[in-house]
Amino acid sequence: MTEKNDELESVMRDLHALETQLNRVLVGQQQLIRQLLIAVFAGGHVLLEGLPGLGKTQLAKALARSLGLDLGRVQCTPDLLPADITGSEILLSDKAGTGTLQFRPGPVFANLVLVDEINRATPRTQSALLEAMQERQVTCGGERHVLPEPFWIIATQNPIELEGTYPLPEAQLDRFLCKLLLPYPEAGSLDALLDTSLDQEPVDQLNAVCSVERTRELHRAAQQVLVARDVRAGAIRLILATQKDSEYASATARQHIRYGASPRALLSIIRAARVRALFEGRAHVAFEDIAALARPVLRHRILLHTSSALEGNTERTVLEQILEEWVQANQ
Amino acid sequence: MDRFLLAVRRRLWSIRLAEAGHRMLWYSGIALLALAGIHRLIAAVTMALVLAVVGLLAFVLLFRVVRQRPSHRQCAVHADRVFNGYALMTTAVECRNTSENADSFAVKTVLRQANDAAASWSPEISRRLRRTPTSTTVLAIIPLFVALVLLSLPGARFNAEADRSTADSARLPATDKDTSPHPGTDDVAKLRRIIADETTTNAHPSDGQPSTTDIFPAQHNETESAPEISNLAEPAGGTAGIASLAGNDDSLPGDAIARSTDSLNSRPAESSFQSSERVELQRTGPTLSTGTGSNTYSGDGQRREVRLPELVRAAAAPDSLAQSTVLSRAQAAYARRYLEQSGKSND
Repeated sequence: MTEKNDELESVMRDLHALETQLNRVLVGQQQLIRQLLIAVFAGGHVLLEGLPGLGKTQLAKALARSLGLDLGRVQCTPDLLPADITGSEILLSDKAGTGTLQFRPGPVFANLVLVDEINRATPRTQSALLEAMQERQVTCGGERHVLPEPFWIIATQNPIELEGTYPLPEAQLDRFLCKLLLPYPEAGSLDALLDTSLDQEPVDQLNAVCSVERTRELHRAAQQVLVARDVRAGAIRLILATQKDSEYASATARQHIRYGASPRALLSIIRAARVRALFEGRAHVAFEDIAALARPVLRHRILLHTSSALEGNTERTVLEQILEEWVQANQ
Repeated sequence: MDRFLLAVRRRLWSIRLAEAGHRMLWYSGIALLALAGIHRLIAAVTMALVLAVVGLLAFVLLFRVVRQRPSHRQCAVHADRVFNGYALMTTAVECRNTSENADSFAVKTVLRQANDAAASWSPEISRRLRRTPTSTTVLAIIPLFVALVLLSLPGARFNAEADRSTADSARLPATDKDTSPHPGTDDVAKLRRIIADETTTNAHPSDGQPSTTDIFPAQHNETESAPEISNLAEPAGGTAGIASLAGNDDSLPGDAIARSTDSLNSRPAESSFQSSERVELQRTGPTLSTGTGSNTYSGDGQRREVRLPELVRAAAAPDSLAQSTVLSRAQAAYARRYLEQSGKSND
C-alpha cells in the first residue's frame, strides 16, 4: 500500500517540478504550461497559437530540455517541401563509385518537433505531417521509417498576418490533441521577464527534470488512471452535444454547428483528463477534469455554419454555450 | 467506506420517504379540493371515497419509494455530488466491483482515498443531506386543510334533500298555529304532492288521503276524509276518473270550496304564484258557475266560476285542463267529486 502511495506521490512530484521549471522560463502562463504538459503526457500533439514574440519557441525548447528530449525544428515557409520535413533519399557514392540511395532523415525525426508557423506551409507540405502525427512514421521511397519514441509535434501559428497562409485542413486539425492559446502577458509578467531574459537565455540554464525513460513511465502512469462509467458517459454526452444530428445535441449545436467533434476528440479528452487528475493528486478522473479540458480539446474541432459565422458567432462563443449546458446537465 | 455508503443510503431513503410524504400532502390536497368542489356543487362525497383517494395516493407514492431503494452506486454518486468528491466514491465502488487492474497503483490509491474520505465525511451526512424544509411541508398542508373544511360542510345532494324534506313537511296537516294562508308556490307544491300521492294510492282510496285542508289549508278543520284527487296529468278516462274521486266519506266539502275561495281571495295581489289560469270555485247551489266564462284568475281577488257542464267535460277529459294550473285542476277534481256526491244524493 505504501509503495503504491509513493508511486502516485512521485508522479505528482515530477509533474509539478516540470511545471515549476517551465514557469520560470515563460512567466505568467501557468495555465498554458499546465495544459501543455497535460497534452504531452497524454501522448498528443499540440497546436499553439499566439502573437509573435510571446515565447512559443522558447517554450518548446524549455520543454525539450526539461524532458531530456531531442528537439527538431521546422520553420515553415510557402516554398517548404515535404521532403524538407520528412527527409529524403540522397544518392551517395562510395570509393568504388557505386551509388547508393540513403535515407537522410528530416527534422521530424526527433522526440519533440517544433513546427513554426505551420499555416504558412503549403497544403502539400502540411499533409506530409499527417502521417507523422498519426502513424508516427514516414514513408519515403516506398520504405517506412519509424519515428523515435516518444514523439510529439508542437505546431505554432500566427493569428495575424494571414495573407499568403494556408489554413490547416480539418483532417489535420483533428490530429492535434489540443489547441492552446498564448495570451499576452500582464505587466507583472513582463517585469519578471526582464529579470530572467534580458541578458541571457533562460533555456540554456535548464537541466533535465525527467529522463526519457521517466517520461515514458509518467505516460504509462497516466494510462492507469481510472475513469468511472459515469464520467465516461458524461464525456460522451459532451462530444455528442456538439453533433447537431445526435440525440444529445444541444440547441446551440443544432443552430450553429456544421461539423462537430469526432470520436478522436473523445479519446483526446479522456487521455488529457487522466493526466490532469494526476496533477490534482488523484488517480481517478472527475467531471471537473473533463470540463476543464473541454475548451482546449474541442475549440479547433468544431466548424460553424457560414451564416452563423457571419452573424458574429465564433467557435469559442458557441463552445462556451454548449459547455454551460453540459455542466448544468451534469451537476 | 461500506459503512459510509450504508449511512448515506439510510439517509437518502429517509429523505425520499419524507419527500414522498410531502408530495402526498400536495397531491392529496389537490385531489381533495377537487372532491370538495364536487361535494359542494354536484353531489355529496362520502368519507369512504375521500379515504380511498388519500389511501391510494399514499400507497402509490410509498410503493415507488420502497421500490426505488438507492443502490450503492447511486449513494456513491450522491455522496460525490454533496461532498465535492470529484467522482471518488463512484470510482471506488466501480473498482471494488471489478477485478481488472486490482493491483495497479490507481486502484489502490482510489480505495485508500475513498476510505479516508468516508471517515471524514460520515459525521457530515445528516448536515449535508438535508430533508425538505418544514416550511414547505406546512405550505403543503394548507390546501389539504381547506379541502377537509369544505368536505365537512353539507354536500349538494344533502341540500337537495333538505329542500325535498321542506316540501314534505309542507304536506303535513297544518297546526292550529298555522292559520295564515301560505304563499301561492306552497299551495302549488302541496297540490302537486297531493296529485302525485293520489296517483300512487288510487287502489287504496281510504289510505292516508290528503284532506281538503291540504288544498285549502287555511280554514278547513273538518275531519272528513279528503277526497281523492286523480292525477289530472294522466288521462284517467271517462268515468274511471270520476270513479277515482269516490271516497268513503259522503259528506260534501262544499263549505271547503267557499272557504277556499276566501283563502284564495285573501292572497295578496303580488302572489308569487305566477300562473294566470287559476279557477275559483264558488258554490252557488247545485251548480257551479263562472262569472265571466273565463277560467282565468287575474290575481286581483275577482271570483270566477266554472260552469257545471264545463266541469263535467273536464272530468271526462282531464287533459283539457292541461293548460290550467295545478290549483285549478285540483279544484276541478274537487268539483268532480262534488258533482258525484250530488248525483248520489239526488239518487
